[in-house]
Amino acid sequence: MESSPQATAPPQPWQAPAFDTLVAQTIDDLFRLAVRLTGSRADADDVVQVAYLRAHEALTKGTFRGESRVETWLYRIVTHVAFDSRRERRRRDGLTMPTSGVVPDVAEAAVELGELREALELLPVDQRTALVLRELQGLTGKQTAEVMDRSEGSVEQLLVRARATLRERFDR
Amino acid sequence: MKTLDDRLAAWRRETEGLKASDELKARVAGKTGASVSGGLSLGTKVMLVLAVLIIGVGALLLSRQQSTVEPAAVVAPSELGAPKPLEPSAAPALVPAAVPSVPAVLAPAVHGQETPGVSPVVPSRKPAR
Repeated sequence: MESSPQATAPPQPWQAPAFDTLVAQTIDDLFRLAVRLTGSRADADDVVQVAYLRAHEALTKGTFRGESRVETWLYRIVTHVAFDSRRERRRRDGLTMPTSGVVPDVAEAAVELGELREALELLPVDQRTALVLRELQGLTGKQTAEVMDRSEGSVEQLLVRARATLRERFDR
Repeated sequence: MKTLDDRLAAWRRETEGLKASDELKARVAGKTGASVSGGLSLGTKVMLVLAVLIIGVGALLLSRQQSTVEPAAVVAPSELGAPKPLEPSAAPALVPAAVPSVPAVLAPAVHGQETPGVSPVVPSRKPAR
């Protein structure tokens, strides 16, 4: 059986994009994701900066070889950094719910949004990540699963639990 | 009382227009060497350099042209009392009237005869010291 030219052609090596181009194309989207995950612009600034530093280091060392889309990979880094930051902040503050004044400059007047942010803060990390990626960032189930490195079914379960917890609070 | 979906939609709208600040972009650029905003593209830089070169060469050519034309047009040599050019007959000859003949001893073949008992002198290629 003859093999097709496509089957015999060697795979093209993944070419890392120019980093400044990558940053210019993704920074606003990553910043929105970081704000939605952390609930704070100031924290989001730090998260995005650290995320790009990690990405730059990985691209420089060649540890990222393009197995997934660059945007998906950056999302994954931001979610990890965001929750490292959140864990650190909780440990530092010694509080379980540091919500008051967390987002002083985003929708400060909206009481409902403040309550939502408080409720999101109380969710487990994976449930909150799944909810933010699906409901706020608008990713598909497959994309969310790729970012979280889970199966789609697992992501759906996280979403069901997150929604159930939040509905318990808001839709009663 | 808003439902969960209403609140999620409101939070999405509230954060939809957010953009990274210039300060954050500058911080990222400073840490990673990436130029996120405010920099000129390579094509723009090349065009700028070409434009500067063209303007510079044009200005140089124009200044050289003016420096060669203007003095002749403004002041004629006769007006300054300079002596008029000599007539061709009075001018000293720049070229000798006659080219010295080749010495016989150097080129006997030219004359077709040799002096008996005198061997032709072959000029040395080394310069006389």
